Amino acid sequence: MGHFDPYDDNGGTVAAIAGQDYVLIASDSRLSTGSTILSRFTPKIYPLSKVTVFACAGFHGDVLTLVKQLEIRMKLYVHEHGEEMSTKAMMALLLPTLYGRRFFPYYVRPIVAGLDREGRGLVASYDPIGTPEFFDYVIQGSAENLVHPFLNNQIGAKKTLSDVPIQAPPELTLEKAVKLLKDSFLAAAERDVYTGDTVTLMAITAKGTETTEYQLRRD
Amino acid sequence: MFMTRSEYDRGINTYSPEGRLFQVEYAIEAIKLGSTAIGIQTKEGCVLAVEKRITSPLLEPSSIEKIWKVDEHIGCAVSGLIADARTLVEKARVEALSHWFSYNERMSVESVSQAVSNLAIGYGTTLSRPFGVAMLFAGIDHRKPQLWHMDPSGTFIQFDAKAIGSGSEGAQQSLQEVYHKDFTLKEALKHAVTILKQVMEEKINSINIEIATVTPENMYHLLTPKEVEEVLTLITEK
Amino acid sequence: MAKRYDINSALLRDLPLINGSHSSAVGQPKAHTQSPSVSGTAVIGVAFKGGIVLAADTVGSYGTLCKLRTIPRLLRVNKSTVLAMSGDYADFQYIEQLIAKKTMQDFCSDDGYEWTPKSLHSWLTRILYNARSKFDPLWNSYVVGGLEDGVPYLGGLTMLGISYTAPYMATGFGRFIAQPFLADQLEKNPEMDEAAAREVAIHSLRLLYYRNRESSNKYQLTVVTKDGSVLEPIKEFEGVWDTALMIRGYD
Repeated sequence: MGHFDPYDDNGGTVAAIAGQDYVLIASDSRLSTGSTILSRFTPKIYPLSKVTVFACAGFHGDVLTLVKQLEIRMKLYVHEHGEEMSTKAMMALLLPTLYGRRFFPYYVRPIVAGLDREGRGLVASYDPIGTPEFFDYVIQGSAENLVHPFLNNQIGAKKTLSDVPIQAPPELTLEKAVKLLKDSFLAAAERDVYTGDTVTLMAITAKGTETTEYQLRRD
Repeated sequence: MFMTRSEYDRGINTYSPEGRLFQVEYAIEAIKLGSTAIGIQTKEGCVLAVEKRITSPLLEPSSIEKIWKVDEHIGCAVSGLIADARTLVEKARVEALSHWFSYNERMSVESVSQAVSNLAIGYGTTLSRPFGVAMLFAGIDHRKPQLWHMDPSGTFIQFDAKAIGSGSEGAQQSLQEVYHKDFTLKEALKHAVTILKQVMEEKINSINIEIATVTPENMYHLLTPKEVEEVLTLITEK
Repeated sequence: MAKRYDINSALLRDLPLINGSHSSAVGQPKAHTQSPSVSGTAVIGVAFKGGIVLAADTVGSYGTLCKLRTIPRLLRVNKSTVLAMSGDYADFQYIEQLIAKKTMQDFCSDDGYEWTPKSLHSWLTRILYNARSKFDPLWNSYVVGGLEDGVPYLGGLTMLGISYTAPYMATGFGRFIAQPFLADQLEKNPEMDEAAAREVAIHSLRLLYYRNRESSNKYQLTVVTKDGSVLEPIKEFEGVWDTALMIRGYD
């Protein structure tokens, strides 16, 4: 009996750090299926507004569809309410959007990152059916198990269970955060075959958005 | 305005040759029969004050409701057909909560007015006549305290201060004379009841008016009879 | 009612099936295609300075049988847009019809709108994604190519609705055999011209011909440049098998 599987795992890793006055989002650019590479030129970061971005690993067909859905919701919101949807509102919206597909889920590992109205960094990660998690740093995708302990050690080491911050401490400047995520992806590309090629780092501050790219292992 | 009235005032979706919708205009007239309601927006918050007509000594005054809570941050005062108002307030509540469900944030006062307006102008598909109410939405969103007015034509406009209902012409005139951008909430309360007192036929007391405030501290709050009493002392003391 | 479906299923069970797969579950009223039958293998896409080239051989395989030897797997959509397909040939013909229909509608509305590679890529993504979401997939991978506002565009697409862009790409078996070669060639010569890109595309097919039993040396190219798009006639290259003699067991 032939069985059709509507899902695929296209690998890739996305991560974000929320700072006091910045948010930093990172993604590798490898798109793979099984042991083969579809594209080395596909960063999985999607800007939704001036201060909010979406980043997503998982099944790329669902990722693309979900991104279009969110872009439509953002545009409709601007028409209806006369301003861009805030980062917090977009974080809230993703929950019913994903849960609405509870019984044929989008096979995705999303991150919403951005600045709040006061200019502070915010990040949230979700499971495929919409359970949100708010934390000062998040990692999703094929190398999350590699990168998470590293960032726990570098950022979260002094925290206790009852102390779950929304922003990283002021000592973690944007420059330091860039270094951390760059190192995270370099390390991830060493051990995870689904992460590699290039890493795109997008920093959002009150001044605007700045994007940089670094080479990763291409094997 | 009734000089050019003709058979074109029957169909609710029919324009007159002069391009008027008489039924909508009549509905706007119907509001002028309703009890007076006043709304004032200040930097500290908004005030809504309405008159309740106690037509019989056997009537239970607290059963007349003319100010409703739409959401934590928005209140609504109405004048006109109260039964119609209930339908529109229900719409406002559902929209505000639906917005909260999707976005986990308070719906803006403007957007609530917009949503209710969409229902108000859609009367043709659901109702045999336009809604016979004017509404004042007073609230606070992330911008600032604000007051919006909507009439049966579905037009919604922001005001610093607005009066609707039978005493609206005089009340609006008075509001225009006293209004100041730097009003405190207390001043706004005082002026609201002063003007209400002027246009009311009955003698004003804590039973025949209703007052609500929307402030950043307490959000929507319908004043208790005791609190109304205190407000009334503001105008009797001097 | 249930009985009728049982009879249907019983009949279906007795049908000889290619690829050993069965398309209907017992008691289910609908039997969608769940596996391909006549199919085409890898296609190649290369972007060069000022245009793109797509290449494919012309075999339609029925399992391991080389059933059809000269079927075109490239489609010229208009002067700026071309398409290459691998996978089920019937599903491709269905897509061809859809494209022809939409092209005709656009022509009739006479508003100057035409397919561009980007719009065709996006539209095809929605078609394939929606089909997979209905559990009735179109069993194809595509490479869409052309010039988008004068800039070379190359878009890949899988049967699940995964779409991506890249300066070079190959589908199916070509991902193993041709892509490493293409990556290497484009790294050595990033400003490739048309002649070089054609050479690289044909050589990719040659590599596939040596290692992929489903492929052949009969092939077709389509090229898009600022001068328009051309679907070239089917050609043939000679295999060089001299080195095969050095492989133990070949003779």
